[in-house]
Amino acid sequence: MKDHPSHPVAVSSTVRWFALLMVSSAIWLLPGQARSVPAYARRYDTKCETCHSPIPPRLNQTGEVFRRWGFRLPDADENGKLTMKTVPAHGIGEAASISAEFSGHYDQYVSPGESKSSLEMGEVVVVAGTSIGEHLSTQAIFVPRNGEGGVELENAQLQYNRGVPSHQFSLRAGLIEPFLWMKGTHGTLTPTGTLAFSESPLIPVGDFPGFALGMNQVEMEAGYTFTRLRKGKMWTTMLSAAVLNGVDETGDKAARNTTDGMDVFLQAVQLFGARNSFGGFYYKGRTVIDPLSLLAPPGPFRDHFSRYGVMGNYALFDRVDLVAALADGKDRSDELNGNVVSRGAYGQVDVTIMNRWIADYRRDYLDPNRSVSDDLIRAHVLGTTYQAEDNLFFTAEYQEAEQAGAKSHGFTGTIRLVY
Amino acid sequence: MRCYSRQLATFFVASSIAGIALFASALAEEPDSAAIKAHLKALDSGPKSIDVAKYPDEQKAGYKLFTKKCSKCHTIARPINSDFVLPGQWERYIKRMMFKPNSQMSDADGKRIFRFLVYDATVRKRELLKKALLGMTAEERAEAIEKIKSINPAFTAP
Repeated sequence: MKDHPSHPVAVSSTVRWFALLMVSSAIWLLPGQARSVPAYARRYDTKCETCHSPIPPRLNQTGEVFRRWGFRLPDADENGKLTMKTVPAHGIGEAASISAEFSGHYDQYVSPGESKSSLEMGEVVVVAGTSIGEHLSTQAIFVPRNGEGGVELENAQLQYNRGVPSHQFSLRAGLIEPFLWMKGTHGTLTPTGTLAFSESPLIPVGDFPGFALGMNQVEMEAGYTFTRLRKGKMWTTMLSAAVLNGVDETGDKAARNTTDGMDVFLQAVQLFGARNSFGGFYYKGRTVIDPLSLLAPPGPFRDHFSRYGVMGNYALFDRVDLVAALADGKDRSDELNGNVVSRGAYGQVDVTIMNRWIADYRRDYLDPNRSVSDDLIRAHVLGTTYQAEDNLFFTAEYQEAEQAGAKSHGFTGTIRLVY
Repeated sequence: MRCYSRQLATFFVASSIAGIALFASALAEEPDSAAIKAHLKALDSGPKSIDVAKYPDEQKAGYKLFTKKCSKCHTIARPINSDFVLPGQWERYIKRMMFKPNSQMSDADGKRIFRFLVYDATVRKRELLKKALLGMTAEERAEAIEKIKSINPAFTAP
């Protein structure tokens, strides 16, 4: 049975313009979450390709397991039995990588006072991570300059792993990137994040700005990773359950929970073949809007929301990858006295033109309120990335977004240096 | 101001975690890791290609496969400049690489690469190969020579 809000939300031209502006701006506001960290390759004396396919930052199966094992590399002994290779960092050069972006943009929709064309210094990010002894590991991602010029601590986590390589139990806590699946939603091959899995809320519900799936959060997560290795072929199952602080009334991540209890996030991901995957997730959250009664009546009220979805990718050929995901959402708002049901999805095809050069096309779709007819946002994204050296990436991307017949266009070119 | 303090505090927490991690890791360093790293670095900085113009077609194809598969995780210079020359050494090494997670190397790939590397040793590393054969027992040497000759019949045993 379909849920409907008690009173339909009218979509004004201002709201529509704002939504398109957000989609268009997403080009540089939503960098991918998976990151290439050359320090890890230096430490393990291996190449980027060991963990990234077709090119960084997308993780292949080895990279996903490396991450879940607390920066320990899956390996094999002389008999082909799965082993865990641990090389701790012996200096800052083996633990930390820095990346810096320089980009040029053309955007049809801009805020008043901003230029349609611009050259910008993008994100500067420092990523450091290492295993500590047999069971512990840590990671910190510090952003001295984010896309908006601010300082940000994006990730600071401590992880405990226990078990044999084929059965690993993990417990991690801190400010965490919660998603296990690092294929398409986080770490797309181009800078634009997908709409449905973005870091910024795109589904406002009354006065609640909304909840974004890609948001890093303070949380504690228990996980289990099963890995089987036969003649170089891995099969990995990743399960996790987390409690999170969730979001505050502004839709931003809650540094500590002061509103309405903890959120819950359940995930299951299956990895197979060299770089294929499928999985699902369920997020249950809640927050109190207007806790200080600063807005007009009704005063403090609750928004209970859930997000659930499926995702996967499949290498159709050696040079062609398909990626797709679907996420549904339901917000039960006291303010609107009803439910708002949303849906987002995307499909993407990546083609490896030649070694270290890929092109991709993505079709995005986001319906913020399924009971409203003219708020559907669609986007085409066409991009290409060339990895000139291990440390240098060139990306060009075009995005066209459309809502209720109104279109926006954006183009971006980015040079990224990662060391 | 409150937000700034929180960011500063979290940054210091993260820095402390990273500092502790690096300190703990430094204590765990293996003494022989520096020697291994130096050896691998020497191999990696050697020639990065082999002139296969005079090799048979089968070995030319093998070379192409070798450069594709064996440069995925390490430099191609590493096996090219390796002092492995004997069939047994290559067999063990290739099997180990095939077992690596996500190696994407089939049994057929492994065999073709093995045949190429054994053939290449008889051409480029002939003296080293002969020396290695002389260091073996008569039985081992006969077995190795038989394998080599099945790939390069022109090879003259020491």
